[in-house]
Amino acid sequence: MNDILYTRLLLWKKKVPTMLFWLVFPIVGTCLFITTASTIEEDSRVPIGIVLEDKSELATELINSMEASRLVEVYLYSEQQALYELEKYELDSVFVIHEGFENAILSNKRNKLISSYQTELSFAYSPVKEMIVSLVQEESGRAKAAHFILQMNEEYGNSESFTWNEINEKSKQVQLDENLLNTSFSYSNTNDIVENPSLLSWNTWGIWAIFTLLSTLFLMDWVIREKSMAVTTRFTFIKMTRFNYYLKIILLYFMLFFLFDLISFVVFAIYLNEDFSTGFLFVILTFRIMLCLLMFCLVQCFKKISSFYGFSIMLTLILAVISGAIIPIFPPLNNLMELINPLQAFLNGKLTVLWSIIGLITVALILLRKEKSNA
Amino acid sequence: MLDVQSITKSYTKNPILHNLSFSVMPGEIIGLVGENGAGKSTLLRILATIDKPDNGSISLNNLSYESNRKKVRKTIGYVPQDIAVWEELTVKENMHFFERLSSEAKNDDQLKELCLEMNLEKWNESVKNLSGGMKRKLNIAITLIHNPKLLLLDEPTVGIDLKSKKEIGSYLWKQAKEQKRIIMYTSHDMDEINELCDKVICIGKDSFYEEILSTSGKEIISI
Repeated sequence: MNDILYTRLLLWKKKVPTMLFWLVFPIVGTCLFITTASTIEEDSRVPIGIVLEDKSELATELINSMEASRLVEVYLYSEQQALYELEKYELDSVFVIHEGFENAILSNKRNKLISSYQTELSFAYSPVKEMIVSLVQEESGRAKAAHFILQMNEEYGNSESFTWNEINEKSKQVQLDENLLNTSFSYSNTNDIVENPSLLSWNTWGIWAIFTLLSTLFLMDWVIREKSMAVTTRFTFIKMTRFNYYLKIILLYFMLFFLFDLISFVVFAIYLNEDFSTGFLFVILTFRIMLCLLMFCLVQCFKKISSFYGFSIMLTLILAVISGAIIPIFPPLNNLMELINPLQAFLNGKLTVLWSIIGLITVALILLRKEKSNA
Repeated sequence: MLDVQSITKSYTKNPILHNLSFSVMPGEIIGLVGENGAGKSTLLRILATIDKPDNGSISLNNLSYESNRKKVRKTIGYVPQDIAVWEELTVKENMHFFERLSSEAKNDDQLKELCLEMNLEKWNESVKNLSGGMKRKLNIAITLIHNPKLLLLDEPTVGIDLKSKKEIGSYLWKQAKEQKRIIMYTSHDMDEINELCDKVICIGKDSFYEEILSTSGKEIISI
């Protein structure tokens, strides 16, 4: 193995920039993808202006509820400033919470609580309006219930009297406990429930797997390059069999790749807050074994390096689509995909056993064939 | 001694080598001549164990190719017609690369000495910057790392200047006569063949080469 390491290092030394590029490509690519996607998501919030004429607790609570939404970016302005920004199309729409908003809600009045302004470019006006209306209804419903309880207390002379705030707080607590308006989000191929989903939740390891597939393919091009070189004639006369020679090189590449996989594991845990589970390391390990073996087999089918690169890009795109790493796949197809797609087991968080065995058998057959033709 | 007995090789219906027999003693240099496609390279590849004959037997120093292929290989050096070196590596790195994979270990000084014997002095130069002659010399030097008893060279001096050609020629002559290696090589340069070879094997039906060499006084084997 030392001889193989020595000779490979001699060759690798001459192409350090290229090799380093492809080795860190999955890490940098994934981090950039996730960061860019999050930034775009942040930037794509609809900017709305709020004019707060009523400084009451209920009005403030309404603002807080709006700000909690991932759909809108709330800006508090005076009415004059808000309309100026709207005219400049800096805001999608403007909503004015009129003075007496809380009093109107408490006295069960629901008309003319909020006024709105829009322009001909207010594309998001309708959904934002609906969202605000639903928030107001939620608050007014809560207020109506509190009002009704207080009224009943007075009518029936209940000894235990509640304040408005106590009823309000209790109502919110019940809503939270009963989980009345909660929806659980999860990937179609996972059981993990995402508690606070973003608009688009990206599967970090899925994206990494796609980038890794491409980088592994591009780094395996040495097989085609060396196959077409006169220097391979000399391998007939080396001290080890061709079987051993190639197997040791694959092993060396596997170790190099896995080292960078471990770096990815640490970087994602620190930078992207991914789980730091040791069990997942075995999932990565089997995924890497499968990739090294299968890609070595695949590269044997090519003689021209340009057609191999073209095929690599096409294969990566196809697997990216069918594996559900970017676009989730239809759940009933998940098991079928695991059989036909080598990446699927990894994306499902399972050990890649089947495809690793297939890869191992195919590599053994290819190397035995090489050995036989060289015997 | 290299002993070839009745070997036949065909890629199509017509055999390229038919019932070929000859023997070569240690220290002898054999030239292989013949028109293009006559089977010179095929014969070299068979003797180098890269290809197998359809029929016949070959033995080197009483080791049969059939039953001792791996053992025989360790005593064979084959210089392909194309320059089989890593272009991106230096002369030194190339020598060390193949030494590491060779069955015989050599240190840095010994490897350098091998190159110097062939007047290949640019030890730290990248191969891609070397002249054609220098590359040919390196091509041969690498083959000699494991100290082969049988050295097979496929047009080793093609396309290089006369000085390099002479240097390679005299080096091969020294290797044969002093190290008692068997050397077989193909060439189209009849002056070179006349100057270096003890025997000449003419392959092919055309008597052109036989006629040219008839006045040289060399032993000619026509097949």
